[in-house]
Amino acid sequence: MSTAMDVEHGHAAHGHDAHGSDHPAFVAHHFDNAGQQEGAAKLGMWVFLATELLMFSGLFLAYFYMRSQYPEMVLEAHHELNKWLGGLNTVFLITSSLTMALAVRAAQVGNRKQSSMMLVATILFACGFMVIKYIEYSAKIEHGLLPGANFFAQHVTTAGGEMIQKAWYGGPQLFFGVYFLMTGLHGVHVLVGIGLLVWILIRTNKGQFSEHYYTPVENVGLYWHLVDLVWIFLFPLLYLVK
Amino acid sequence: MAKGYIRGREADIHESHHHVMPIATYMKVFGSLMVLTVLTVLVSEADLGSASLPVAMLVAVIKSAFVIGFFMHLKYDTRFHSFVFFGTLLFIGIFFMLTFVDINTRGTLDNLHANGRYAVDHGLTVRPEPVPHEHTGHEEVNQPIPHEGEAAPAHEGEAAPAAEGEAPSH
Amino acid sequence: MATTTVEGVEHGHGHAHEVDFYKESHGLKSWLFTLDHKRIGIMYLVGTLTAFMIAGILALIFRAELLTPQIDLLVNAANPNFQEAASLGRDLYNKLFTLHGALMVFVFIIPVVPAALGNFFLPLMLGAKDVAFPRLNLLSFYIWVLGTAILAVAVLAGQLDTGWTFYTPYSTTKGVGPVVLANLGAFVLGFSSILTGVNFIVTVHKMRAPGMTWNRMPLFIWALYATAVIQVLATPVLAITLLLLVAENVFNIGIFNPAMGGDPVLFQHFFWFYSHPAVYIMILPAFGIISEVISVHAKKHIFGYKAIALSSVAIAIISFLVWGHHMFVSGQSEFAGALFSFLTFAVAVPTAIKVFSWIATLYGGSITLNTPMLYGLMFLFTFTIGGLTGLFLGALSTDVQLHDSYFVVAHFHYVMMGGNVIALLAALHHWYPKMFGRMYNETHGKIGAALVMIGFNLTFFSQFMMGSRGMARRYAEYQPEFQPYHIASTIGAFILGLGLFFTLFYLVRGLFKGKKVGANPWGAVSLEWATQSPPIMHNFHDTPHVDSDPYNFPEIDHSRATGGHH
Repeated sequence: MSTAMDVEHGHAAHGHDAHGSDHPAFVAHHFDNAGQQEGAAKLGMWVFLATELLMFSGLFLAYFYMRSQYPEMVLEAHHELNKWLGGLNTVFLITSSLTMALAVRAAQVGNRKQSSMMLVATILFACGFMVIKYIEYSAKIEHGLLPGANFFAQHVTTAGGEMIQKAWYGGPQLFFGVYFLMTGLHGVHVLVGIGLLVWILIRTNKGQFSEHYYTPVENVGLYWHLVDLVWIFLFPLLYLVK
Repeated sequence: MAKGYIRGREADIHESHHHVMPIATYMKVFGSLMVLTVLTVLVSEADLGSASLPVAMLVAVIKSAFVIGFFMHLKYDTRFHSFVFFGTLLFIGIFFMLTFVDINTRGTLDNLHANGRYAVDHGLTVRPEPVPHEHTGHEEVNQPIPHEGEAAPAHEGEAAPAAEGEAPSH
Repeated sequence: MATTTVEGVEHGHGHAHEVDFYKESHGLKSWLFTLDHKRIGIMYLVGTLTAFMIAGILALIFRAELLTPQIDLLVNAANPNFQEAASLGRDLYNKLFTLHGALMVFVFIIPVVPAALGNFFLPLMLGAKDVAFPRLNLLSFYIWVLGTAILAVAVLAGQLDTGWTFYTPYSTTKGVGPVVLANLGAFVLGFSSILTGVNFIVTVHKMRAPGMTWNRMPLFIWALYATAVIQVLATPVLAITLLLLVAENVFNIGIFNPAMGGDPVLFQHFFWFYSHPAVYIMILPAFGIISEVISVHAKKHIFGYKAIALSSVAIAIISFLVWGHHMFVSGQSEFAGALFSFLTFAVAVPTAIKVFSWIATLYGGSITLNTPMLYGLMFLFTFTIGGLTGLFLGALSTDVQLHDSYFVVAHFHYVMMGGNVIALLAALHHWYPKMFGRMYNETHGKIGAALVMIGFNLTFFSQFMMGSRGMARRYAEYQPEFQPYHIASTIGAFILGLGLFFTLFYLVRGLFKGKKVGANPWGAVSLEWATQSPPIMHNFHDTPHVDSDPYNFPEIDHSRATGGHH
C-alpha cells in the first residue's frame, strides 16, 4: 500500500503538458503549482501514516490485553528473547533513522552525492536489522517457541517450575503468537521500506531530484521514521518486560 | 489567474517553507536517542516494581517525540500535520480505553449481585434462583469466583428459571 | 443575482459544446487504464450496482424460502433422506444470508456512494481537475475488484456461513479455508476503502477552487469528508482484526480463543471498533445526498448549513465511542454495557439536527415532486423510522429482549436500505442528467419510486412486528404463528425487487432514448452544474472562481420574512 502511495508521488516526475511558466515538468497536470502538489503529497503521507499507526494499535491492544491478564506468563516468556540482539536492532534502526534524516537534508540542499550515500547507509542498516531478525527467528523456531498450537518448547518452565509440553491456557504460546505477529508485521514494513529506499536511491542517482523537488525522498523518509517509531515501542514491550 | 490559489484561498504559491536543520541538531537528537535507549535497558534492569511499565513507556514516548519532532520535521511542519498525527493518537486512546473499561470491569456486578449475595448482605428476600446451567469454557475459567448456585437460598424444588436473573450465557 | 459565478464555463457562451469525457478517448483500454475520476466513478458504479443486484437476488431467494415455516425451497427434493436434505438446506440458507450480508456491506454499501458517486462528483463540486492522487484512485478500484473476487471465491468455495461479522470462536472452528479467504477478501476491500479515504481527505484540503472556502463547500462534500475521516481512522483496525483472525485460523495464536486464555469478546471489540463507524461510512454520504437533493428540488437555501456540516463531523467522531452497543449480550461487562448505552444516545443528537434541518428546508420552499425529491422525502420517513428504532436497540434493557431478533434486522435495513439505498436512488436520479447528459423518463421514475416505497415498507415493517414478538434472526425455519408476517415480508420483498428492476430498466433505457439535457436542468447552483453534461475531460475550461455558497438559488426571494436565507 505504501508503495502505491509513493508511486503516486512518482506521478510528478513526468508531468504531461506544461501549462505555464510556473508549471514545471515535475508538476502533474491536475495540480495548479508545485506548492499545491507538494502539500497534497505530504498531507497524503501523513494521513497514510495515521492509518499505519491505527493498524499497529490493534496489535498493541492485543499485547496489553495479554499482559494485563497473564503478567507472570509474559514475564517468564520474555526471557526467551535475546535482549542484546533486540538492543542492537534498536541501535540499527535509530542510526538508520539518522542517516535517513540526513539523506533528506542533503536532498533539501541539493547535494545529490551525499543524499545518495546516506540512502545507501540507511539501506545497509535496514538489511542489518533484517539479518538479526533472521537470527532471532531461527532460534525461536528451532526451540519451538512458536505461536499457538505449534508451541512445543520443552525447556520453558512456568513460574511454579513445571515443564511445559504444549500450548495451555494462558500459556507462553500466547506471548509468542503476539511476538511473531508484532515483529512480523514490523518486519514486513522494514522489507517494504528497503524496497522504497532502493527505488528512491535509483531515482536520486538518475538525478530526478533537486532542491526544488524532493517530495518522494521526504515521504519515504517519513515512512522510514514510522518504522523506527513502532520499534521504539516494540523493544521495551517485548524484550524488556519487568 | 488561478495559479495563486491554494486550498480555496489566495496564497503564496510556495506553500511550505523548507526548513533546513543544521547537521549538528540531527547529531544531538541522535545522541539523545542513544542515551535514552541505554536508559530503557537500565530501567528494565532496575527493580521499579509496578512503575517499570509506565517508566519504560514514558522513555519510549520521549524517544518518539524526538523522532517525530526532528527527524520527521513535525515541529517545523504545517500545524495540520500535527493535528492529523495527534488526532490519530486520540482515537487509538479511545480504542484502548473503552476496551479496557470492559475488560477491567468484568464480573463486578456478578460479585455484587449474583447468587443472592447482594440480597443476603442487605437482608432482602430473593426470588427462586435459576437452575445453575452449565457454562462453557471461557466464562467459567475467566471468573475466579465460581457460580455457587447452591449456596444461595434457593428453593430447590421449584427452580423456575427467572429469565432476567442470570447473565446471558453464550 | 448572488449566485456562484463561474467564469467562462456558463453553458452556452464562451465555449462551444466540447467533447465530453466519454468521447475523449475510445476503446476498452482507455477505460481500464483511465486516470479520470469520472470514468473511475462510472466503473465503480457499474461494479457496485452489479453486486447490489446479485446480493438482492440472493435475498429474494431466502425470502421465498421463508414463506413457509418449514424448510422446503432450499431442500433438494430428489434426496431420499429428508433429514439430510433439510440439513443441507439449512446450511445453504446460512450461506445465502452470509453472502447477502458480506456482498451488501463490503462490496456494495461501503463503496457505492463515496467511491462511485463521490469519485465522480467530489472534484466537480470542488472545482478541481481531478482528485489529488489519480493513480491511487485507479489502484483503489482494482483493489476493490480483487477483494470482491477473493470474497466471491471464498463464498463459492463453500462453507462460509459465519455471517458477515466473522464472530469468534465460531469463525475459528471452521478450518483454514473459507474464513481465511473471506477475511483476505474483506482485508483487501478495506485497503480500497482506505485509499479512497486518503485521496478524498487530501483532495478536499488541497484541491478546492479559488473562493471555495470550507463554508462554501456543498454539504455532500462535507459528508464525504467526514466519511473519509472514518474510513481512514477505522478501516486499519479492521485490517489488523482480520489479520489476527487469519493468524488465529492458520497458526492458532489463541488471542481470541478461550481455551488458550484468549477472549472472543476481545474480537468483538476489535470488529465493532471498525464496523460501528463503518455504519456511518454507509450513512453519512447519504446525508450529504439528501442535503443536496432537498435543497435543490425545494429551491430553498438549506436550513442550518453549518449545523448540518458540523453534525457530519460530530457523527464521525461520536461513532467511535459507541461500538459496544453491538455487544450488550456478548459477555461484555455490565458497566461497559451501561456506558456504551449512554454514549449511544449521543449519536441521536447530531442526527436529529440533520433531520430537523431538512424538514425546515422544505418549509416554505417551492417543492417540485419529481423522482429525486420523492426519494428524498421517502428517505426522511424511512430513515427516521430506522433511526428511532435504533434508540430501542441502543437502550441496554430493551436490547437484551430484542437482540438477534428480526427487530434488529428491520432496524438496520431501515437505516442501510431506507437510508443509504433510498438516498442513492435519489442521487442517481438527481445527478443522472449530469452523468449521462440525458434525462430518464419522469413517469417511469414515479412508478418506480412508488413500488420501492410500498415494497420496502411492507418487507421490513412486518419484520419489526415479528421481531418484537420474538422471531429470531438467521433461521430457515420458524414457528407457524409468525407465518403471516413472513408472508407479508416476502411479498414486500418481491414488490421491492420489481421496483428496483424497473428502475434499472428505465435508467438504462434513458441512456439511449432519454431526452438530451443542458448543463443545468434543475437550476442548481453548485459547481458540478456549471460545466456541461456530461462534463469534459478536465471538468472545467478554466478554473472556476466561487464567490457564494452552493444553495443560493436565484429564485430565493430574500425580501420575505420566512423564506430565503436561513
